[in-house]
Amino acid sequence: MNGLSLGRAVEGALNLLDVFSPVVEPYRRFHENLPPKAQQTVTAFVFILPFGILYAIFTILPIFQTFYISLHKWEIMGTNIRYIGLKNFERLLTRDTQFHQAFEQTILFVALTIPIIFVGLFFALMLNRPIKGIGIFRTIFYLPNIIAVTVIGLIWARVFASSDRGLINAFLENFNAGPIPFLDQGNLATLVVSFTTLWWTVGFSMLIFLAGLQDISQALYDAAEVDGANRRQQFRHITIPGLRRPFAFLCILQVIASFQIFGQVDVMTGGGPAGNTRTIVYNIFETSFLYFQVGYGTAMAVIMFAVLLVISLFQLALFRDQGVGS
Amino acid sequence: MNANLAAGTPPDIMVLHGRRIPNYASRGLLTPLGDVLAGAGIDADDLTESARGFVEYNGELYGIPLDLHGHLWHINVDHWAAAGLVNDDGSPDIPYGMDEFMSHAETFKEATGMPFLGMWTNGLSRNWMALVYQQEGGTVEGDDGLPDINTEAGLNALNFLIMLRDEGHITDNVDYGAAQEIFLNGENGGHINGTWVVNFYDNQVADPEAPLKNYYVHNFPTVYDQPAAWAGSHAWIIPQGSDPDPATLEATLTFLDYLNDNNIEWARTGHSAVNTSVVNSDVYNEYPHRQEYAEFVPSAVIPPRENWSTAFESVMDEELSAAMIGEKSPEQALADAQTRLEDFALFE
Repeated sequence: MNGLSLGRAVEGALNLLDVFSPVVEPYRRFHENLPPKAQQTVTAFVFILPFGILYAIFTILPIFQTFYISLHKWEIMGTNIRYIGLKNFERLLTRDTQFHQAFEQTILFVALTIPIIFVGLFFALMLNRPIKGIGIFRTIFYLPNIIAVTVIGLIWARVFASSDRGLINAFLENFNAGPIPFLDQGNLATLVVSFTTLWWTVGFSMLIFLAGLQDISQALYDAAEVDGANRRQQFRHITIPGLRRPFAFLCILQVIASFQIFGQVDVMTGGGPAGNTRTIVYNIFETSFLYFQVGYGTAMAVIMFAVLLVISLFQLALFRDQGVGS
Repeated sequence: MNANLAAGTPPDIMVLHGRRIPNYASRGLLTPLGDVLAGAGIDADDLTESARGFVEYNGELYGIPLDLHGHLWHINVDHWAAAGLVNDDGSPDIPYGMDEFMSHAETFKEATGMPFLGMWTNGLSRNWMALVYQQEGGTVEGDDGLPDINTEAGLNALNFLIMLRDEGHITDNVDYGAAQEIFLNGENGGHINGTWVVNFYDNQVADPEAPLKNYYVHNFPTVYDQPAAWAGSHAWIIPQGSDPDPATLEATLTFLDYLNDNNIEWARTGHSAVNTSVVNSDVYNEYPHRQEYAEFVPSAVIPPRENWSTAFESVMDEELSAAMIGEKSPEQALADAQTRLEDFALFE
């Protein structure tokens, strides 16, 4: 296409915009009559309007819809929809032992996966050095984070398989040891899923800390050096305070992510053995999609939302007290 | 599919597990076929009783079964021969009843040092259910249509499975893939798996490098009073609701008629055909190993035609597994399963 025809094409496309003139012209007149400061505000709102509309339809509205559905008996096929008030919540809180067990299990996963943050910090400190080929190491450590959870789950399920078909158990067999029932004993399966989560997600924590570390001015370390501070003192008084923001950010994200553990459980254990690794989200999935009780599953989601909201607000308040975000 | 149903845009025809038909039919989502099949040239009376049981709900037909599938006993004949458990003609000496079964298992373990049987241990509900139905009066459904899990028959079946595991007669702690691998590698005497692997295992034997050299397949072991095996059925259903468009329905039925006429082709996998005329035909009976598990069809257990059947396998697998790994006593596991399934069945 030569320059002339391209120009015509652009002109043609612009002419198409005339279709909006019945809206644009009145808006332009309205905008010109506004005080200058209001003009800026209105323009800003107009720019975010397209995103705002999509966000409202696909994010905000479903949240309210979730609350609405949770008050109903609502089957996934759209059948037998009936308002039942708080009955779903009554069943959940008073007699659904499976949900209670899933809740406890989720809390355990949260507790077990929090150390990911510290492992991420350790890796970030190791990789924040001016050594040759550091980019390769950083890439390697971050790599698991970009692999799909299905692949991660299948790999580690094979590594930790309970029989001598598992990589570790096959190795142990050479020493006449094992097999260890990694995925067939409740506590072990929980640890295996937690370890897999750590391996999969630690790269993200590392990346955030690495960015935080590079944000700390070298001048502070130089000044400390001049003042005679040793490495440990520098870490305690410069590095740790400098990483408060990423730490707060990761704490909140890690807790939310751990509450939402699903893929690893689905692929590696299917919630087993004997329901020992069933998490809240897995329970929601089973209830809504396998048992068709979307109303009931949604009530579980509402409870989880409330718990996460309280925890996140608490964390925010805690970090604000420590000067983060002020 | 559920999303399509909710949106009012279901497919014209699809395959559904027969045990799920009550769930969809009771909600008016399936097209009743009783009155229209004859017009399409499909003889519903030719269906075997077992296969028909999977597509009926409240006396109405809601599908045409594609197959009858279920659990069989896949046997490594060479290992049985090494343990002296074969007849004069070289076929396995199949035990009947608890005493014979346990005697065979002991003999086999002593002679070969291998477990007599393999099964994947995270999906035990199917084998447990078969063992329940093998007992006189054994069932998982009460007269009121509600789950009836916590019974003497249920406890017997569970204790039997635990005993097999404790005495080293079954391979322990293995998933589906590993259980199959163990059998195909010749590391146990037999393996409980479905009709769907008969053709696959038979082909394995044809491979000169495969460890499994001599394969036989029999009906699910009869340990109690009568034969019974877990079964299922893939069924063609028409999810056009109770008032379908006549032209679409007619076209769908024409296709269904074609599928039904060619049912024998799908049975090559190892599944049982669903028409009596096919099951009795020479061509069908000449399929590999077919005669060895001919009794599967009459022994197939049709699961309760109730909505709670949807949750049966996952709840039972979990509770049975809890008893197998010692987290719960067998009594507690069955009591918990009863409570959970009742809660599911009664929740409105």
